Amino acid sequence: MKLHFTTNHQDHRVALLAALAITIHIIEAAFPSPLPGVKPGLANVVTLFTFLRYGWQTALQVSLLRVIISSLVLGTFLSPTFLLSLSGALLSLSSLFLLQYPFRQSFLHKYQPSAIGYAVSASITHMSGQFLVAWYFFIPHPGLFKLLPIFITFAVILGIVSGIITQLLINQIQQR
Amino acid sequence: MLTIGKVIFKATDIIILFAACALTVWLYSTFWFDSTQQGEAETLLVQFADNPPTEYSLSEERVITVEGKIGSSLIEIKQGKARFIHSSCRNQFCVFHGWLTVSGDTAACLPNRISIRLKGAFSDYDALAGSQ
Amino acid sequence: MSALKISITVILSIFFVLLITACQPDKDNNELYQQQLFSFGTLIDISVLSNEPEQAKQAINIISTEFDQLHSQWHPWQNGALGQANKNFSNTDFFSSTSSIIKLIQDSKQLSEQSNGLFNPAIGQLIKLWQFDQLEDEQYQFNLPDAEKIQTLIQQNPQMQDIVIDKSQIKSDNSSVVLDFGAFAKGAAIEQMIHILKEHNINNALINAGGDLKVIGSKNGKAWRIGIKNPANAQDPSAKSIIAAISLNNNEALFTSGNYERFFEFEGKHYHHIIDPRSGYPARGTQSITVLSNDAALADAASTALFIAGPELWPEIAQKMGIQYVMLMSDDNKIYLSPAMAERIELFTDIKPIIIK
Repeated sequence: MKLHFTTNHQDHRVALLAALAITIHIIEAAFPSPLPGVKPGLANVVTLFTFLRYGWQTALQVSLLRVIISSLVLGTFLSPTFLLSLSGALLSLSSLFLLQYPFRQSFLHKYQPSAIGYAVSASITHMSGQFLVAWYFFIPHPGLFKLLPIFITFAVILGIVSGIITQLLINQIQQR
Repeated sequence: MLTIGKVIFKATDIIILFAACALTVWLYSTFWFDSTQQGEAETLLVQFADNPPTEYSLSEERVITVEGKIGSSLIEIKQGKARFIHSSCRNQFCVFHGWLTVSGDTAACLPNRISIRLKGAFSDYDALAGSQ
Repeated sequence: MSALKISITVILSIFFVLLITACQPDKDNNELYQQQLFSFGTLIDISVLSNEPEQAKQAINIISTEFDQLHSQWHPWQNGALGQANKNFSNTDFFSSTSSIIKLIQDSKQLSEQSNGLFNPAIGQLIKLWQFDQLEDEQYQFNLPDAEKIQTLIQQNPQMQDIVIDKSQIKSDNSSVVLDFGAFAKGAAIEQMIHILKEHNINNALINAGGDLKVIGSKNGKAWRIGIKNPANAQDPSAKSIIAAISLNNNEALFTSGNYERFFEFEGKHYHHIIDPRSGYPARGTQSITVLSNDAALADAASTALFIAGPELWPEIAQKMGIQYVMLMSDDNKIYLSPAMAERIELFTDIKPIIIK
């Protein structure tokens, strides 16, 4: 029996974006972090871009593919690192969803934040999600919380950076 | 709306950034500068023999009287510290022990079977070594 | 539905099943079960990590009765096994004793030799002379022991090597031998208690007997973290209460001896309970010592021996006793560390430690 797969435009788009996110994720994995598995999450630029341009369903697909395939490539599938990046990805995506939700009302639509607002909130939830999972499952030492402010500081800075990158990306694409 | 180069900051963005900064400042003050988080004790556990311990807040200054095996022991709570001020035992080791200040610290009146221990949510140590 | 959607749905569902199952082993963090016992003349804190609370309780109950039993058996002057033996030593004839006492004697003979006699449990009479057991009595008026009596006992020179063991029979060739295992019993008892815990399949626990402790396993995968109290804090409440911290791994014991533990003041001078068997007077030069070893009994004996050895002699004795980890605070507030200890300990003081090879 021959299996026939049909792929549509949406599939191509998801595959392309996921490939991009995976590349960034793997490059990012090469950088050390004071808390193993906790990463800045620059791959979220792709997630954020996808979310803003194509909606949360596409962003979820890209995000999951990114987490699963990167972990297979890095050899961390189902390991603590994997669990950390998955919880970070899911949480940051949920925060994007929740942040956008009220602005779907037409009278609020014009107040919708730009990429930077989304990026900062995604980055903070991404970081705190990973942090809480790391604390709860792997290092349940209360002393760990002394690191949290530092991590969140980085999250805010990196959120702004990735927000600006995303904004520029969107500007570029819209100009064409 | 604020535009720097090609980047747009909307009012909502500014609000989010402001909230993020506030959160960061709050985290620093909670986990770095709040003394209660740094191994400092929050409550005092007073135990008689094998009975379950009774918990007292360290923020409230008071003197507790506990009935033990051979008489009563007086325990003082003051400025987040605790100590025995009197015990019906003959040796008074527990009184000489002085103030308990860090979470995990214990003192006991052995003849009266009364022990006190400081407890904090964020104890830095699983146990304290050295004479008690 | 497109192929991609199907595959994502499949991956997602596999993932959720895996997440639910994979989290199970992570979730079974053992419960911390703590109990305090008043036994062995001190407050004993037992922390056990176990997912079977009944088993933990049962083990702690056995330990509790065992501690009580050992305390009376090993008391030098009460009517237990050691008290009986002490009465018989003066006859210098063979008599039979319990296997537990013979084991204590065997072990401490060896340790006494390794410590050049600084750890000497045979000086029970000398220790009795100092009357530290009377610290229980508030009304008791402390006097210095009679210097002549001390001299006589020093000349009689009771040593562990005077004791001869023949199977279950023991005798002392020196009639002045009286055994006082005050510097060894706690360590030996903790060793036995750890053994009982392991027999009950408890592999993660901490036993803290009045500031001397031993750990097995870990605290949910993390090393046990121990704070070492500052001896200065006893007199000066404004001083830092914790002077150092160290993380203990499986099977490590940490024992501390200090001149502030038991003492009396006489004519303005401080007399503490660690008696130098060479002089008959409280050992001088050391304020407190902390020793880490895999054997609690060895750590206990070594902490006494190295305390007496003092700031100059301790490295030599530590080497002979096979002790790698030592921190010594001298009378003049200097901190000496062995190289191995220097690598592991975290000091919270401005005093610059002196690392001695």
